[in-house]
Amino acid sequence: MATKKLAITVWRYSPDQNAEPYYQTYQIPYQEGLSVSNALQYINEHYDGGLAHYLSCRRGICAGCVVRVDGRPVKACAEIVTGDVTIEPLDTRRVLKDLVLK
Amino acid sequence: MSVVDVLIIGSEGAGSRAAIAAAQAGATVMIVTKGRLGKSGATVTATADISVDSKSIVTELGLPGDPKDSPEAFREDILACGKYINYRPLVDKHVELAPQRVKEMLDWGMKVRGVIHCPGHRYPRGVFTTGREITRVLKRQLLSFPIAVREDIMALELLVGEGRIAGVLALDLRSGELNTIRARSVILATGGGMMLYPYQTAPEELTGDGYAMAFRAGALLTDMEMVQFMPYSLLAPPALKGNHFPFNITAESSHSLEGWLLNRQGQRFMAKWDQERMEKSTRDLIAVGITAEIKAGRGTPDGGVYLSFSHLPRNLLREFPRWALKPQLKENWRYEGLDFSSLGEKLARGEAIEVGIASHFFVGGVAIDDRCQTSLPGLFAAGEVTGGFHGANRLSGNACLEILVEGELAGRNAARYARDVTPAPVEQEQINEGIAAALRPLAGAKSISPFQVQKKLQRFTWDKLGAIRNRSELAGALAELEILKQEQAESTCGSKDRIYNREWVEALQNRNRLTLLQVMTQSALAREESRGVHYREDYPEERAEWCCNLLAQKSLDGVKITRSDIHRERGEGYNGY
Repeated sequence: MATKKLAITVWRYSPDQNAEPYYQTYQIPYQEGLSVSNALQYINEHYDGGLAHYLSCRRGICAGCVVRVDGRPVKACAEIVTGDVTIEPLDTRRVLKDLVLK
Repeated sequence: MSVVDVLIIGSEGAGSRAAIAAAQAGATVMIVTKGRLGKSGATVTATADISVDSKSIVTELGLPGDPKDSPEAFREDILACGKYINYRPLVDKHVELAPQRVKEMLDWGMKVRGVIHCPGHRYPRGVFTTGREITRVLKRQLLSFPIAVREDIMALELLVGEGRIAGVLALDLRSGELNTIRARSVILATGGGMMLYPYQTAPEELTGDGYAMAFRAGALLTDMEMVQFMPYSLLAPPALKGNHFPFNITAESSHSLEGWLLNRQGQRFMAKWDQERMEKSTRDLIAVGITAEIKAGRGTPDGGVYLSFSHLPRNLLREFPRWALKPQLKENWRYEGLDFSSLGEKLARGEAIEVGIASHFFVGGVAIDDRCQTSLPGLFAAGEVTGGFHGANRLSGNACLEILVEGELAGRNAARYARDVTPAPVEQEQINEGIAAALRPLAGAKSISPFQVQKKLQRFTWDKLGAIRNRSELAGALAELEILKQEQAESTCGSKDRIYNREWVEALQNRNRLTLLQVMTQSALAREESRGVHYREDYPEERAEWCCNLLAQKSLDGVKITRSDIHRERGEGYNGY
């Protein structure tokens, strides 16, 4: 049985590496109860360790990990991924790198 | 180059409190944090009770306490829980200063939801608030002073000149630059090392950096074998890994539900460990009980044990979120910021859930005296990164007390120290070595990744330094560590981007993990008894001759462990400093 895959599209921009922001899509295996932060960690571990996102408490308390998922602001650690999604920074005008704001 | 009077590493509970005290004493203060102010560290996630003796709760704080309590009784309970290896002058300071520190938090606007009575305390001593509230109040005070708060700065090495602290070598995650920050005094407020374990109740950044930096700089660490585990923690799914919500359901408060811990044969195994209290036993015993079942092959598919409520009427479970754990638990089984509805449905169907243990608190730490000074002149420490106050086990409410009391002591004393010293010289050789070590993971061809090394180290810690230890595993662990050290030294980042590179940060954290694991393994091997949170299956009893502290210090061939009995009876400083 082929395992279900998720297509995670991420807004990328590093001031040192890119002239313009761009979107990149990563295929990751579906797992029940996978958070947006878990998906980003999977991308870090398997595709690009330099993908920047913030993560601290993992309990939906500190709110350091807020990003936009399909346009909606959410806490990445508390938001469960059930299908293909697009992840963007909360405010693209204030980006330090990728999903991390200045 | 300008020299700051007091440089604080870590921005949350202990770090904020220290900064306020140092600024009040007139020092120039800078905070550096690997994370972000108010959005990192353990404080914001705390439940949170702050211990004060119940008599003072009535007389000093004007809150409902029990006047039959006394500071002396509080002190006795701390020592009993810590199995009498607590550093007594530091215990005395906490008991004495607790009312004052909490009173000022109330004056600064901290809202309190009552006073709770937690296990191990003979009286209700938990001034009950939330971690967010503590963070909010401290942050507001902090920002009222001219304190420089530099976020996204990871301290890498403590710089030492002429045998005293000279500053810090740090990585600025925003620019990727390695900078030297010179300081007359430095305060470590870096929290614990829970992220050494694969399951942890604590936030991501707590990778034990403070212990590792202090050790490499030659400071003494104490009782690093003492790690507190949280039983009833979830092992899956990924978003809930390490979360201890089931502990809150079954064991935390007087509202809790009667849960049964079962092995795969359906046996209530806690009867073997604590026939009277069973599943409401102390956390250390439950952690050992759970681990023993898993080790004996009686665990669950995910590597835990079962937690069952099926002996209770189903509606009792369905209705549980209507009245329990307020205000964090909502009727739809949202708790704090997370959705536990599928767990709630499972319980309402009468099924057991799988739970295990997660690392929760580092009881030992950097050795300090009762002014929060370490054995390295000019280096102070406050909060979880310190050792001594808790001894061999920590009472509920004493972590939040520790950040306030030690934070204030460290800030005040570091400011005083800084007034009287000229800045120590930095040694270019140490800086060059630190920079070379920091940059190494960015160079070279792709080999094992820092994330793979991290996973291997976590597996190692789980297997060798879990809730049950023994000589043969620990002795074998030392050889294994040498191999892991080699792998860490060869690991390289796929991404060479210097700006906010998580992989690079992981590599730098792995270096700290390895430093710390050597100390922890040697300490756990040395202590041939079971005491507090340290359980040795080959020495399952507490032994009177081991009522002492284990001090670890850097030596030519690695780690030197020495026993220290001096302050147990006489109440003097570590090795007389």
